[in-house]
Amino acid sequence: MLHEFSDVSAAALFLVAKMGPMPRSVRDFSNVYAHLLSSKSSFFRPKQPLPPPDLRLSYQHEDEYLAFQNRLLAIEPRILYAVSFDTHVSLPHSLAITYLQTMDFAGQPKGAIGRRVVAYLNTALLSPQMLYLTHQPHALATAAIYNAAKDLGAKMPECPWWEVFDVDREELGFLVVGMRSLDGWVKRQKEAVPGIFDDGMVSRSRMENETKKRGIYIGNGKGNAVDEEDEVMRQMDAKSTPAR
Amino acid sequence: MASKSRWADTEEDTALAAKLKKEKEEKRRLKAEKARRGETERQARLVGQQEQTNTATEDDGRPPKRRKTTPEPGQGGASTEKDGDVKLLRFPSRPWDKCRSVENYDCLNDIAEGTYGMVSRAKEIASGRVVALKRLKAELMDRSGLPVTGLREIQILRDCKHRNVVSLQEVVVGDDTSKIEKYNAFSIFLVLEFFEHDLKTVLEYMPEPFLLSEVKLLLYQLTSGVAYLHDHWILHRDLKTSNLLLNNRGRLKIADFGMARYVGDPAPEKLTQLVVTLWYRAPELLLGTRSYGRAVDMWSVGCIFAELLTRDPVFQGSNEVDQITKIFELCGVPTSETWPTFRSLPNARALRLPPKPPPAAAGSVIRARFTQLTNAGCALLSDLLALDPDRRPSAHEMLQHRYFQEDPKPKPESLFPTFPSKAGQERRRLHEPHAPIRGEEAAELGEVDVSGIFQGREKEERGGGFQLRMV
Repeated sequence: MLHEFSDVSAAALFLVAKMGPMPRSVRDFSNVYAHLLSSKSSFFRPKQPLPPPDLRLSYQHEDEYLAFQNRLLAIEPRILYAVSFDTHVSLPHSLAITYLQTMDFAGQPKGAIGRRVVAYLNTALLSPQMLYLTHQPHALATAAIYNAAKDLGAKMPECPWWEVFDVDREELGFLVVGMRSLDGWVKRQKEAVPGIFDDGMVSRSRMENETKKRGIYIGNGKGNAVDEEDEVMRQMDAKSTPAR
Repeated sequence: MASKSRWADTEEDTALAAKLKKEKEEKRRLKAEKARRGETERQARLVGQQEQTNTATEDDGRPPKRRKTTPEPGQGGASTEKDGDVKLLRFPSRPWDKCRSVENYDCLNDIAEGTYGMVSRAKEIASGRVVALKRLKAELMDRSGLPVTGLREIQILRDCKHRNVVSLQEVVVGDDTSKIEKYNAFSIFLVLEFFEHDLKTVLEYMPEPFLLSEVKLLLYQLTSGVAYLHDHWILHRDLKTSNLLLNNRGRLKIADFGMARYVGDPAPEKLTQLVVTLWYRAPELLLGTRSYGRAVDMWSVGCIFAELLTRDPVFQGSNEVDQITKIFELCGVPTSETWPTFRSLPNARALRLPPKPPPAAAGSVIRARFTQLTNAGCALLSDLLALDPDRRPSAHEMLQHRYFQEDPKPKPESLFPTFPSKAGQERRRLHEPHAPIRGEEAAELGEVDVSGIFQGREKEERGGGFQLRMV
């Protein structure tokens, strides 16, 4: 919670683009984020119709751009430091498609089941259980296929087919439940905080207000492996530098 | 287990039980039986074996056996039994944590300043292991954040594991972690395995050139390293003798991946043109191509091969024009037969070649220059130094080349001579002309007149391919 969420997301995307085949400049990110976060954008505002492109709303002053760049460049090494520069990631999406191919798409139309599987995989990224951190890609892929097949009423083999993909029943069951529970979780969040997903991207200050209302302190606190000394130092550091 | 069955229906359970029984489990059950009724052991085994043969022939032999051998009554699902039964592939999960601090290392001395940063020799305090610490240059961290070359190097080295590629042990950061967010005051070190020599220094200081068997060993190691990289879609793009490390046990390793990158298939359209140190740069790069491939590394391998034989870099051009002239002098000028597509390269249009080179003079003089090589060696070298990138062999083809099969055989690593380490003592600055610097504009060749390069050749004596050394 040290940085604004949108900044962290921008930095992560910037970093991925830079290491991959399609690097993008900070300027590009600045423009896109300014547009998405502007009050008229339909991003995270499902009820709002798509506004006509209005450049004035997402116009950025040069100072704002520089501030954005500073924030981005500060978070970039922080991310790399946290993962000790190990940027190798394997996602389950392509595996899932390969698995589907070997299963002949479970007799379903390719597009329908494929979309469903990818939808499950993408939704699982939002899971508060951090499924992507606790499970291997092949297990995630298999669980998503299981869910999608159930949803579409596909006829699956009678045998424990998941073992072909090196997933045991227990693991599969955990993931299936985990992926399916997300829907309810989001609904509960929406009930707890009305309008949380309807008014633009969730910001840090809003989260902090909400948690204060509930009397919870958010910090990199107990049980977390973050060095407390480090934390204090950084906060002092932040105070000495002018507010962003 | 019972709680787990919430999400599963019992039909599946029975289906599970009915399938995938293996002989291993069979034996285990028999053992349990054996413990229970010791006397009837032999009988049971007999029955078991019969059943095994039964299951092998027909699938329906299952239910009676199941009834008989269920060890404990009241065990609901068969899932616990199955867990030990089916062999699932387990993938190692990599843990990750934040970087350690450079304070875990004790700096011993500086080794060299490379293109991308300082390299020092250091000792890990906890284990006493000697490593090389390479610091990413801070001045390269401009307004676009951490240098992409450094990140690529880390990314690539983390994925590489080969005996002829230098291994990255970890990445550590400067001691002051509060500075991390000030991207330009923050230092990053790569912890690499330490090797005593680099090949360039060895070549410079050795009184006698390598024996042919030693050259063969080094070249073989280099090629298998390059083959590994190319197999993993990596272009090194800066192969040269100073980037090849050598230890005292005859092991060669490819290092310095500051220029390296991943490429796909088909190769990306617009690659950086300014790669590879000038002396090792392939002709298609000098002529300004932007879509190149693994052949640029193979050209560098060819240059290194020649350098191993003579101890001197083979093409020591002072600038791009001089470089391409030197290449044409040795390898001949490109013609529509030897390099069909070269006219379409950006810089080739300004190239003025000798109007009608005499056929004997226009060809390659590699055989005449490298007299110590056998026929096979000569053939390999001229293939590697082929002007047309499509004619250069791939690293895998090269490993199969008969040059490596014929005598003298590559010397075993254990018999390789040792050298006094320069890296152990003093710091030196490498003399590396025209190492590529990222972001710089590639030089235009401009109007190049190489029409005169063969003028003296007519008068040269055309011998039988051997030289007499005048003292």
